[in-house]
Order: sequence, then structure tokens, then C-alpha cells
Amino acid sequence: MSLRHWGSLTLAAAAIGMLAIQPGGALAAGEEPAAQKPVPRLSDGHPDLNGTWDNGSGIDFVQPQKSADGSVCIAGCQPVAAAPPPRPPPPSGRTPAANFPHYRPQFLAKVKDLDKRQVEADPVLRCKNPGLPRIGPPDKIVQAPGQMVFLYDDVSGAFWRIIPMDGRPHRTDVDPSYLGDSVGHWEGDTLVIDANQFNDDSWLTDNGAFHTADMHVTERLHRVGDVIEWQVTVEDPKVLQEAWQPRMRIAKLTSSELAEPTPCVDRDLKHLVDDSHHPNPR
Amino acid sequence: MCTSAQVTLAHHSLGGEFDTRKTLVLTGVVSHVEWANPHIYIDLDVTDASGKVATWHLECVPVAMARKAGVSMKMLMGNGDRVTVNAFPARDGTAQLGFMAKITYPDGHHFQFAQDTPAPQGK
Repeated sequence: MSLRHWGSLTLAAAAIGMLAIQPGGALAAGEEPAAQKPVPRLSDGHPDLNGTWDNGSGIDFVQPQKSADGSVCIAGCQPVAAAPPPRPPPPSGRTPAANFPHYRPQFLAKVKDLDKRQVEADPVLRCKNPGLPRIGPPDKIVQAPGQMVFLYDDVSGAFWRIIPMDGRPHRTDVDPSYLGDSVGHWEGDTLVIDANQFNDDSWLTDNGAFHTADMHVTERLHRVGDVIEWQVTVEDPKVLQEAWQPRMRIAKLTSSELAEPTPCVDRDLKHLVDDSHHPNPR
Repeated sequence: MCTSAQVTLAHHSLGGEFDTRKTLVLTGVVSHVEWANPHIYIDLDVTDASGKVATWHLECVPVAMARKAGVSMKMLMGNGDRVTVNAFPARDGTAQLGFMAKITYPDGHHFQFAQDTPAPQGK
């Protein structure tokens, strides 16, 4: 969690706030575009989703500038002459427009109030689990017979999900949680995960987008080459007028490995003198 | 390429905690780096003319941003040399609390985390 006025960073963040997150990185000479590579498959014929996946970490707008003397500018840097390359569309071409959940009229005032009081009301500002779908695509996937393991290395901490793939139903004996209870199956080459039994201590996205414990989330992960497209549908009919689909997220296979989880310790909130905050690209 | 922590970009504004119109220039030794989210913190021991040491607590960027830039905890620590830090002071008046906009090491190399030129006023 972070960021505003880091010089021009604020504007940069705001400018891209509604854009799909796209992992950066120019191609090396002779390197094949990630999305054009054939999808590897496991012995059961399903796409191989194993690996560490770079989803941009929500900081695509950070473009460090490095100098020969070892200096690095992370934010507030002088403008560079060349603009960053345009973001390519998702490999499949499916790009849902960015949007905000459509709340029932009687809840609009609550959303507005939470938005106004975000610095005191947003759970992630206190290092809480962002919950689904705000946590985004997994950072690592371990695909084992009968189950998937999703690992997350979030600014709020490290989280994980075990997703049975053997056809079992949802559990009925678990407490509500941030990431819910998940079961998965394949629809063709798309991994579909059904999640329910959430708590109501997370937001769908920025700006006061609360949800209830009755929320139902469906994730679809589709590998194209070395890229995973992650799409989500949120149903929460008590408060939403219609199902909500946040923007598609893209994760690119990387050879990097996850680092040891970093502790999340807020030391700022008690020092704030106003409620200003900045846009949230996710 | 770092794939670590997803940065939840819903946070308070920097200007809501620190006075970005004022840049303090501090000289001291980095005595500790707290490699944590949502912000890295460094402790800077600043010695005054009488020899008294005051430790400044300086907020920095999230870990994911530092990693993306290739800046590590060891790099921030330096080698125990005296460094110069440009910092924004806390708006609530907390003593020795600031945001580290820039840290410069004895050989001249530096890491910049915010634009430390005072913003124009009156707009």
C-alpha cells in the first residue's frame, strides 16, 4: 500500500489507474512473445499453470531510472524523453472495461461515506488480507493431482489458498474468511474456481466498494503462451444490482522466485493530519 | 524482475502525513533498515555539534517498489558511512519523523524516492 505525491508519481498512478495491469519488460533479441508460445500441458492434458507469475505487483507505473554510478530514481524522477511502450492487449483480446460495482441505490450513501473515510475504513490500510478479488491473481501456482495451491505475496502479507480439483463440494464447516472456500474445475483449457463463505472485512476494490459475507466469486484463469489471463465475476445480490467484473489482470511467467514474506506493519495512520488518499489501480 | 508483494495502492497520500513543501537535509549514519510493508523505514543517527545523537525515523517506499528498482536492504544500509538524506518532515509535529525523498552516499550515488524540490504554492 502506498503512494501518492511521490513527485509525479501521483499523476502517473492516477493516469493508469483504470488501465489493465500488464507486466512490463521488453523482449530480448530473438525472444518469442510470451503470448505466442505454445501452452505446455501436464500428463492429464490440462494446461500447466505451475510457476511463478509476475502480475505487475500493481506498480507498473513505477519505471526506475538507473545511472551508471549506481544511482536509482524510483519516483519523482526527471521525465524521460521516450514514452514507455504502449501496453499490448491481453493475448486473447478479451478486455472487459474497467468499472465500479453497481450498488443498489440504498447502499450508495454507504459507499460514498466509506470512500470519504477510506484512510480510516479501508481494511488493507491496516495490513489486513485484501480478500478476493482485490488480492488479484496468484503470485505462484502449484498444480498437484487433485488440487491447486495458490500463493500470494501481498503488501499486506503472504497468503495461500488450497483449491480442491477433485469434484468435491464446498465445505460447510469452515468459518467465513477473506479468501473464502474454493473448489475448482476445468472448462476446456480454462481453470474455473468457485469461491464462497467470505467474511465482510474486505473491499472489492478501492473507494469504499464493500461487500457482504454472501458474496460469491468465480475466477477464470486461462493460459495463453506464457501469460495467464485472470478474470473474475463477483455476485453479491444483496448490495449489487448486477454481477461485477473487475478489469482483467494479466500475469506473465517468470523465472524469479518468491522472496521471504515481508512483514506488514503500519506506522503511518496515527500521524495522518487529513484523509487524503490516492487512486488504487486494483 | 521481482514478482513479490502486490502493492495495494489504496493508501493515504504522502502529503497527508508529511510536508512535501519542506525539504530537510540531514547528515548521519543509517543504523537500521526495517524491511517492511507498507513502507520501508530507515533509522538515521544524526549527531549534532555537541555530540548528541538523535535518531530519525524515515519512511520510504514499499518493498515491492524497492525490489523492482533493484534496491536492497543492504544497499540502503550502506557501509556505515555518513550519508545525506533529503526528507519531508511529519505534518503532525512528531519529532524526528520524516519521509526520505533521497539518500546520497559518500561516493555520490543516490537513491531517490520522491521529488524533493518544493512544490509550487498558491495554486
